[in-house]
Amino acid sequence: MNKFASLTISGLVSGAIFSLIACSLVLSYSASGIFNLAYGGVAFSTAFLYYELHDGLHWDVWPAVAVSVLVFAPLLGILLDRLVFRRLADKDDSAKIVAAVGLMVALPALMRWVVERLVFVGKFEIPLGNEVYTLPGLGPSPPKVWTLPTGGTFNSNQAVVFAAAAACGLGLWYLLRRTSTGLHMRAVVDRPALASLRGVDRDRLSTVIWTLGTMLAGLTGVIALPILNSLDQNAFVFVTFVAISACVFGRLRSIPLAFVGGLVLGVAQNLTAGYATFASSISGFNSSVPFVILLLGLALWNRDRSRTAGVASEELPALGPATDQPPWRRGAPWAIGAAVLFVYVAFLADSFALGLVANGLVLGVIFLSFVVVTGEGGMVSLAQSAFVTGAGLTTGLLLSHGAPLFVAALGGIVVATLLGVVVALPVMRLGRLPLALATLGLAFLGDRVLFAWQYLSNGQLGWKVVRPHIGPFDLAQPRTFAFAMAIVLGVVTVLVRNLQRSASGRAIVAVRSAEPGARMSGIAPSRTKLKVFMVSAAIAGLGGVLLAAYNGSVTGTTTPPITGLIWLSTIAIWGIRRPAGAIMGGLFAALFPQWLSGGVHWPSWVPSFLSWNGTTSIYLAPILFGLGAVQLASNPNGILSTAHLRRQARRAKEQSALVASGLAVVPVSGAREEELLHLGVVRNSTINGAEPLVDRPAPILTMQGVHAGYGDVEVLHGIDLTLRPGTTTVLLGSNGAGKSTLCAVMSGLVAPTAGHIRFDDQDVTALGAHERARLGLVLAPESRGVFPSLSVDENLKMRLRTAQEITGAYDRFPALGERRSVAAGHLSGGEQQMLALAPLLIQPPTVLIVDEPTLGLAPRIVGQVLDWIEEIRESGVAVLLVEEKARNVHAVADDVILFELGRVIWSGACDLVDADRLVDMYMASTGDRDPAR
Amino acid sequence: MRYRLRGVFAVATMCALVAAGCGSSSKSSTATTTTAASSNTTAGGSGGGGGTVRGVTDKEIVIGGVAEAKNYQGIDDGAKARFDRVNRSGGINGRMIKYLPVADDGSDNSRNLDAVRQLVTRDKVFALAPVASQSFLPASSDYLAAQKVPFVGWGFMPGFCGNDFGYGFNGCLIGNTEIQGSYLAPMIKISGKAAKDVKFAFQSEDGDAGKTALRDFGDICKKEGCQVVYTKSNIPLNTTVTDYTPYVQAIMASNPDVAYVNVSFANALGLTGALKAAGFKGLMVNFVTYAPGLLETQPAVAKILEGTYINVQIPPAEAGDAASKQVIADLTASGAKPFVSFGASVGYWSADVLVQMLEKAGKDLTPDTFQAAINGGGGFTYKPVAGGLGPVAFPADHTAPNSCTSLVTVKNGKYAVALPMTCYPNYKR
Repeated sequence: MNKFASLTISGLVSGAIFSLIACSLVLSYSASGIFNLAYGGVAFSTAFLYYELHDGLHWDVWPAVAVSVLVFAPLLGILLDRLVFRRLADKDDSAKIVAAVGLMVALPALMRWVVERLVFVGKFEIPLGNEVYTLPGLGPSPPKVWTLPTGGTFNSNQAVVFAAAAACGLGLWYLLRRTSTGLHMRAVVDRPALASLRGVDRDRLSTVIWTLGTMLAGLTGVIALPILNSLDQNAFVFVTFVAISACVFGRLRSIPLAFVGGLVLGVAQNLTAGYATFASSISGFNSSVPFVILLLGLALWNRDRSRTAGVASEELPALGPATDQPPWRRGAPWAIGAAVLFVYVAFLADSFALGLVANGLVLGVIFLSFVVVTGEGGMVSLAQSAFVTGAGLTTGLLLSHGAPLFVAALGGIVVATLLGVVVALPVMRLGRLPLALATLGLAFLGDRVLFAWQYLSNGQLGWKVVRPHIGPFDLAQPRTFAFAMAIVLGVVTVLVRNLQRSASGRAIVAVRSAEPGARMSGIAPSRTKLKVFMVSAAIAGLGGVLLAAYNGSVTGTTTPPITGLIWLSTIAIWGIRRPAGAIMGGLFAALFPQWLSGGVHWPSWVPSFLSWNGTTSIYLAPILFGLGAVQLASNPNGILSTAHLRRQARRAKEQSALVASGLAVVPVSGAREEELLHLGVVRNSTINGAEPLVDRPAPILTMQGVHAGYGDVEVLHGIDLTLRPGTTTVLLGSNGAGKSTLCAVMSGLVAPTAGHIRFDDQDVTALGAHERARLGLVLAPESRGVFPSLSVDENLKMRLRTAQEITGAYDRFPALGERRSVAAGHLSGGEQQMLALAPLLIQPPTVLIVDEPTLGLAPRIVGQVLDWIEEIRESGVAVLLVEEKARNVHAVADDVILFELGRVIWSGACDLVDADRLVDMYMASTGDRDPAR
Repeated sequence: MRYRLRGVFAVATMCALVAAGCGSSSKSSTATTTTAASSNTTAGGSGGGGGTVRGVTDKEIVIGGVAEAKNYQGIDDGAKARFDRVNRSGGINGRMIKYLPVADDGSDNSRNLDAVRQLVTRDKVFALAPVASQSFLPASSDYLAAQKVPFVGWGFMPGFCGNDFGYGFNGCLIGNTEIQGSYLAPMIKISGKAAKDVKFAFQSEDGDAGKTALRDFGDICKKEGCQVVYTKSNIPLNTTVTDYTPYVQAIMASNPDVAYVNVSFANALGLTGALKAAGFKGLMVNFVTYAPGLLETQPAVAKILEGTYINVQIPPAEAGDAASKQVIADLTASGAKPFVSFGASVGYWSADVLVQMLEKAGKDLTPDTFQAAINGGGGFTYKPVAGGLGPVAFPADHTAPNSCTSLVTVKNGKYAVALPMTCYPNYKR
């Protein structure tokens, strides 16, 4: 009993380190949508600085802590925010994971490299930081030790960690759940653009989150030093990986649960070590506890609720093949590359270089497996290293039993494919991030348990894999082997390209970008995902067999899980969505470190500045690699797509230049206006402000000559319009006319390329959406302006600051009051619109732009919504109601603007419009109308 | 122009990469480095009649090394000190040793293989000494054997076992024919009791190596009659242990005379510290916490280790005997600090073994004559210096450890020799 009690209590105390890490991981994830795998890297970097200050420069503990945790860490946070995280916010999950992995690798290497340079080049008398084991934490040194009444001890260092974890957990929970900053953080994650429209300054918030996040990581690093007994970056990285299980406990969202999860993890580890005697014959069982918990947690996890709100994929589409180029042009780089490789391998390379090239080609095969699962399938798999090791070991095992090589290789590939099934089955229904974490957990399980199994791995010795003779070809010859690898890589590349272009490939993309849609098209998403994993695992397995052949042997530790992470980042740098990225990534991974360390030496006629004498530092490669992964923040499609993107952009520019020069077919507004007059839709034009002066209030918002678009595609071609207080202006335009773009430009989400916007006697053209929102220029966007993951109450609080105002909203809309703690995503369409407009009724803005508020609503509710808008106008607000349908317009409109293909073709008072003919025209205009007419 | 950007970029990068691989050569390559054209020979310079021998000229023998530099600081100084002494005294059979600095593999498996391949194919080394890395996997050692490159180092990796070209300076430590005699004998001696009265607790990590060691410890106790009151290999491997309570509790409950902490450095410190904090009064011993220089710079570590023992496989400089005096003299003479770090020791003694082997191989030096001199005929037995390495012998020690260790303790915050370098008879498995 005493044993149980003391194991539990000490587990609670020691689990606090996981709680601390888990809480800050949850904070950054729920506040920024980025799961900060770089946490361990940041923690190490801060701890390393603390060590150099304390042990190198002999500072006292507190100044050293202050500089590292309160100065260095926040500055690092601000820097990372500006350079990486802020730019990652709207990128897809694989880019986020890869960039974080890049930082995880690069930051510690950078710190060590700087110190190494200071010592070797600068001749500073500071330690390099190798072979450092214990350092004083924040507590007394040596630590005070207390004996528990149940037996067992704990010390002051553990107590410090526990106190810090409890304080941080409580503080962060309070911040996230009880403060407006926390509400804003969660709102940004939920719907970033809408948060800006509600006045949230996303840039400032991002800085706050990451400054806080890195400070917490830094604090963790310093107080964990005496617990980890190590100044090895891997110890910090591993403790982060372990803490992920605690995050899953809180479903990556709940800080209190993550805190509890950390403690449970500590207890579970202790109880396993104390009681799991049955496991003593299973190697790696005890080391696997956190990963088993991780997988159990994920298996019990249903989809997170924000997805149930029917959010469509916001992912950028993959760049398709460059179909704008003739086939020979597309094939040329491949042909030239193959020719260069052939000439080099056949005539120029020495046996060392041949080995490097062969290794690169083998890695290319392995990397193609990422193209299938991550590039095509959109699932970030961190378990590829397990497929590689599994296939290699199986091949070795079969060979040792006398199987012929091809049978053994086939066996290896089959086992890898089966492993793919084992990995895929539990993770398929998960969202992308949980899926990535689950595959990481499985990779560690494989590494700790399966590949530690003596029968399979043959212990440290591993298995020999001798390269065979095939007919006249002796694969033991480096040149022959390199050619063989080139051929295999070529064949696999062709297969992957064919897969991408086949019906299965389209099904994969369909499932990736819109699962419900794919399901309606008769595609079974789970079967497709399973297939993707199997194909990918088989390719990785083939790579594993080839890698074993290249190495001449295979052991259970040849490619540990962390290698899988590095592989992912390497290929992502080049472009994870195309086979060429895999090939370049493979060659790069094999050749680049050699290039760095060995240097580059050219014949004498090449200018000497192109040469490079090499470096003995082992840190430069990870630094450069990490920075490469980080640059994904600006281009998630990888280096190879840069030119492709540029070409696309230029095409678009040429197109819009054609439009601007009048060569393209866009109706000229004057002509359209005459047409409208002729048809009797409108009377007595008032275009271009030539409006009869009546007794009307002065304009509150004016747009003059506004042009805007996306990239180089211009959507708005010179817009003039005015809005007046207490007036409802209805803007009518058909689908694709540019209405939503106009809304975005007015609210500040899209910056105009030309023209001016004046609001309340102030030029607001340069202001961002949150600044305009704070001035009183508010947009209620299309498809319900609510945050689906936030509760009704929290949605109201985004605009209403006082309890009185919120009570007012519930009094006005009792339906909302009944459901105040329900997530907005679970409300009906009408209720959501009610929730979007309620705060605007209680606290009216100066200008309200409402984008298609009645879309998809039942007719009974449409009337109600229009009534609410009318009520808002009555309080003196200038309302712009943007609509596609001309019906109902007369009921609310004071003014009408007719909008077509990015231009205002007519504007004027509502009574100048013939409603019936307008409707007729709009019915007609939805058909095929030749715009040139 | 713009159309071609992507293709041009990709091709150019590829050319640059391959050219870099092709054009690069180690800074330290010498006149012996010929053109790349010699790559067609499989076992580069295998000593066939008439042709040049890889790494050997009339005047010079090229030697390289590979290590995780981070964990073996000073390894280069040690090896260089020993080779410099050879060169000062006129070389071996008239040939000077040209020693290339160790290639740092950064604890990366594929980098280790690349480094080894580069040393053989580009730098054309005759042999490797020292070799000390956890990333020296069979891929690297098998390659060296295939290329007929002898290598000398610390024999804790499989490449030093059952490989004719692998020479551990204390033999093969993880073979499966014999059990190291030095595992328990020193601690039995220190305990001052008869073997049958000593109660051992064995703790190791949750991996293959740990499990094998504990099985061996148990087998020794069966033979010697010592009592095993606790034996578990359940500390998580390759991860961070945040709480040693379960292990401390179980060890304390078994009430042993000696707690054998057969774990990695961080865990050895953690567990030792936790055992002490819990009031453990028995003897404690491990294999890893001997790191000269550590105690002075990290007093907290010294405090934890005070009074514990370390089973050390290299001659400790603290012994102050002929061997350690020679090491310090050689370091000083070659311009290094007169400080024998752990890495320097590994480097020095690896080099020392290779030097004696080269002397035995004689004037006609090729990989084949070298192998014949060491593994063939009467074999090779290392001639020890007083207090130095034990008499490692080949071919026997390709499969067995030589089981010579010293026992170091920590006294008043400093390492001190408790039992000098002694060789113990092995046990048959």
